[in-house]
Amino acid sequence: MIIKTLLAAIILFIIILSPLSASSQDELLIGLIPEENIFRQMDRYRPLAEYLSKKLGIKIKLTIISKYGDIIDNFVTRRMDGAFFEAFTVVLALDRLGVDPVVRPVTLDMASSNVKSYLITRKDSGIKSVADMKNKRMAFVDKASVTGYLFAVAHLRANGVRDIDSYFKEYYFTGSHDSAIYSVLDYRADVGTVKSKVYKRMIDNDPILNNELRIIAESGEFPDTTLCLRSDLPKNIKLGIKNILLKMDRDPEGMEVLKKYGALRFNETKIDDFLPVVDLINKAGLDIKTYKYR
Amino acid sequence: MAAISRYLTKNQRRQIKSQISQYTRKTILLSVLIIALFCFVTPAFASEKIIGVIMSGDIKYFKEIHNAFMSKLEKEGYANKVKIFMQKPYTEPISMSNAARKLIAMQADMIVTYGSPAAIAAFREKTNIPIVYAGVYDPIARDMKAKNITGISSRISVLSLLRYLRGIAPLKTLGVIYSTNEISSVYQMEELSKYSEQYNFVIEKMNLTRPHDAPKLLAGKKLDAIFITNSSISSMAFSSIIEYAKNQRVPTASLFPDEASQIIISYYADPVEQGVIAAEKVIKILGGTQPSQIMKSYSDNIELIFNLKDARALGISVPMDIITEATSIIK
Repeated sequence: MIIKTLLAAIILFIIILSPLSASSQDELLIGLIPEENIFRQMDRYRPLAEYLSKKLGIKIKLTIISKYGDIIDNFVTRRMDGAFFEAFTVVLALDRLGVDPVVRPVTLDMASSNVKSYLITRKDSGIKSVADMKNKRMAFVDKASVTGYLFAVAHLRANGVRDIDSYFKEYYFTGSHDSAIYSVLDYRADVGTVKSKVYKRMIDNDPILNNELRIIAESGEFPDTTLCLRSDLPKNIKLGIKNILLKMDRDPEGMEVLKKYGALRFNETKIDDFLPVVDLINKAGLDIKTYKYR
Repeated sequence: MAAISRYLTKNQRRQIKSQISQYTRKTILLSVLIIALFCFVTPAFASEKIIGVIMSGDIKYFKEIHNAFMSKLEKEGYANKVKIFMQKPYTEPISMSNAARKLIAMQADMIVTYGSPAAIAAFREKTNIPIVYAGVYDPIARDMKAKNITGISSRISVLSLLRYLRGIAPLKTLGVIYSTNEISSVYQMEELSKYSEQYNFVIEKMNLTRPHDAPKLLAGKKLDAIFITNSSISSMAFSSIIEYAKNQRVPTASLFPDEASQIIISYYADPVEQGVIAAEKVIKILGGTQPSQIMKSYSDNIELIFNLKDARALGISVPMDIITEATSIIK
């Protein structure tokens, strides 16, 4: 009887531990936020995951979550080992999850690892300032995005708008930066807030957009999408990932992967890089401890 | 009277004269009272205002605007206070102008128009009768400046629809169906011509002035896609255009909704919103507000519909990054 109980306890113990051990040794699950069209995004990230898997010797699996804020909720429940967080979610994750920022890409198009937020409108909208936005329709990207929400709220607040609910005729969240731009282009919204890199990419692909859209406000710089790994991940794995990504621009195979990903290289990222985001959170009048990002 | 008076005394005759005089006075007084009463009471009956409605063609989109317009009037308790005089002339300038003149001649209290041709016809008559428009292409509405005119315009981007169409079909030759009878449609065709140079494709201009000319116009054409402008006449020819598109296996894009839902991409301003806002403006005018004091409005609700069912049947695949922008999908 004692032997049977002991055996059952051991089996149970093995069952409980097995997913963690598999996750930490055989496979790593990396989460992605839907910063752009998810199909295009997967095309960009898949070669990177394959390269990392090959170099690290551990299979990297990718998962795209449906909303920016979901990465905070799902990080623990879906046993993610890391995620490419948007700057606002990095700050939320630092506060709530216990993750370490590792690297972020220097993108090909901007040759920068930082991004800005733009408030855009159609040129024929007649909107030039926050005052002109009253009773108009606003397209945000996500409540947990610096470039797709936080900057806009801070900018509105700096211009005397304390309550967006009553200021706008309507506002909504598009879920991606592309969609925020299309919403403005198609007259489905009067103002949109977007990430500078996505805006530039769309203009590069279709220069006529320049004739239609106007930037009416521009933020300072924030770190771009950043790979953060869970703090309790074995040090050798964390260091391995970091080194592979930081050196891949010197490896011909890595350079090809970077090209597909749309980056020149990866830069090391530290917690201090996110101080401008913390500053913006304060300017927007939000409390990071209680902020409801859903 | 003279025969009777012979048998009456002088005093009796005086009494009778006095009574007749009193009776006459009463009759006159009563008549005056009746006339006065009639005069005062008449406006109460005449409070039923005449609203002349001109539709730019008998098409479903404008009917939907009108249904929403009437529902709103009814909801606000105006259904019995107005009399609607509806006109659906053929979409060409003279018929439109005649329709507007008829309403002016019958001294309508207000003119409501659906679509650009009807709005322009009413506007050009330079009447003082208040005009409320709906379903007018925005650049056209912006040019209609007068104290007696207000309404809601359709803010839609020709370039947006072109962009989505380019996303599903490589364009070398784009067939554009427009009508010189409809200025908004000509305006859109010119816009497309401008973009064709920048996007490097050729436009095959097809001027449709009668719906039944569509098959003849399309016959023998080699097109990569068809763009249907905001033209009532073109929308009346949807079935012929779709038949051509099916045979040639090319996608169609339209700035009007398709009754049979066979257009591959439809992009338009919500007709219900147009009708409701037009009714709100009419109610304000009925309440004594001058049209010049009522702000012109733009459509807020824009529909972008992808018809994946017919696209699949034509062998056209619509990329997911385009589908995600749709407000509605037909599967």
